[in-house]
Amino acid sequence: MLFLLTLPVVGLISAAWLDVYRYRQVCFVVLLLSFGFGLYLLLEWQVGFAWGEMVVSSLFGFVLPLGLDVVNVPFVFLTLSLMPITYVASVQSISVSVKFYISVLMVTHLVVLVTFLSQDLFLFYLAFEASLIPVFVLIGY
Amino acid sequence: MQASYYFFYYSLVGSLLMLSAILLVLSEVGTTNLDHLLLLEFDPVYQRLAWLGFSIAITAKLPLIPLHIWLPQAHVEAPLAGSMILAGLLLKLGGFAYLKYVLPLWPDGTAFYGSLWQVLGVVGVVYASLSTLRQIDMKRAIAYSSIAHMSTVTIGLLSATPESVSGAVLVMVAHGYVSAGLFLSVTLLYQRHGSRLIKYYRGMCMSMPVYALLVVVLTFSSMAVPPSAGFVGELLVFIGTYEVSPMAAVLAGVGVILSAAYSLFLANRICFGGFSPYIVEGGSIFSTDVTRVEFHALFPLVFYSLLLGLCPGLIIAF
Repeated sequence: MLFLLTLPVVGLISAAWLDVYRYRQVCFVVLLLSFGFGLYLLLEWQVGFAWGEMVVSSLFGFVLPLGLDVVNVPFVFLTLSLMPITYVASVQSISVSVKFYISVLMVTHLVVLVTFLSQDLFLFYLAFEASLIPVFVLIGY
Repeated sequence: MQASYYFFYYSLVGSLLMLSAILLVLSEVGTTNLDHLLLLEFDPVYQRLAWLGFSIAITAKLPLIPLHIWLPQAHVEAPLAGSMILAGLLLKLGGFAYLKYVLPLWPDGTAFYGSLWQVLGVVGVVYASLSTLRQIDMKRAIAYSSIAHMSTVTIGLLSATPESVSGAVLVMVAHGYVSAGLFLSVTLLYQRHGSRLIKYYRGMCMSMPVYALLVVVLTFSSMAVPPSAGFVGELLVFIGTYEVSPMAAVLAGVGVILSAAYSLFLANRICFGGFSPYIVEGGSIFSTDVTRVEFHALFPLVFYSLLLGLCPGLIIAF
């Protein structure tokens, strides 16, 4: 599951040295890989492989309050399947500061995923608030 | 830029109340981890306070009727991706908060205030559906229909029966796909002809047949016709709600008829009828049908909606 959250971060960091064209491709691949992971998630879940239990990620010994259970899965799958479609549909009609636009989309993807994966009231609040900023930019774009 | 500020302030002020509810929980029990909180028993007074704080934040986010003004504004001003993400994902954050935190943690608050919020939901269904019928801008119309759908979701969630809650999840997921698809199809028209007013469009099924097919299927999914996910969701919501409060279920059922009214109105005006004299491009009555990229964006949304209607067990397992 950390894979799911590191992918958009990798995409965002790659903006530092890629040109616009390559960056567009990399971010699309990132979103498609995330979607593939979402399909895998759904299949595993259907087979009944222990997803009913909470899956808590840990990073360097710290336990992150992120997890998947029966409540989160539909929303995570919705996010993972809707974002590539949004990307494909919208990115062609953007002409000014394309890199910034794509980065905002990736940040939205990341933040909404964190919100839907949260298992902690405070983390949920943080991600809920953080989702305001990229969407504020997107609405006014 | 005006609409972004509307959106920002409504959500921010709402979530300050959510923050104070979280701080209340933190000062009361000393943890905010969901696993630990689920093992604890809250005092009913604190349950109600925390429930109220969360629910006002969620009301601004879903949005329910008194705090819904930002949504049509934001959709009208937003570009395509903003609309799709707003309708598809951001509105679901509120429903997710109810499902994940509010309902399991504070059942006493749901029992105490739940029917009040269901009244807001019922008012939302009827009022938003009637407002949709009066809109002249397509994006505004779809935004108001989003409010109606999310009000149905609220009614289902706050009934707190297993059927209605799983139905509400399904309505939310279906609405995520369908409204994103409708916003996308409206934007395609806007990119071709430069207008979003309903009265300029007519007879699109003759000049853009593939587009018209997809729009009609999306519209039928939006009004919850059987092979779509919305039907299963709304049916479960009404079954579950009827057990708790038959009155709310019957009044929310009015929304089904009204949603058929506004959805058919919209699709009928855009897709059928004779040629419109206003959308002639360069002497030709034919406008470009969906391109390959647009088709690949629009078709999966239709596909997901129908797939989840045929096998809803893929997503819900309550």
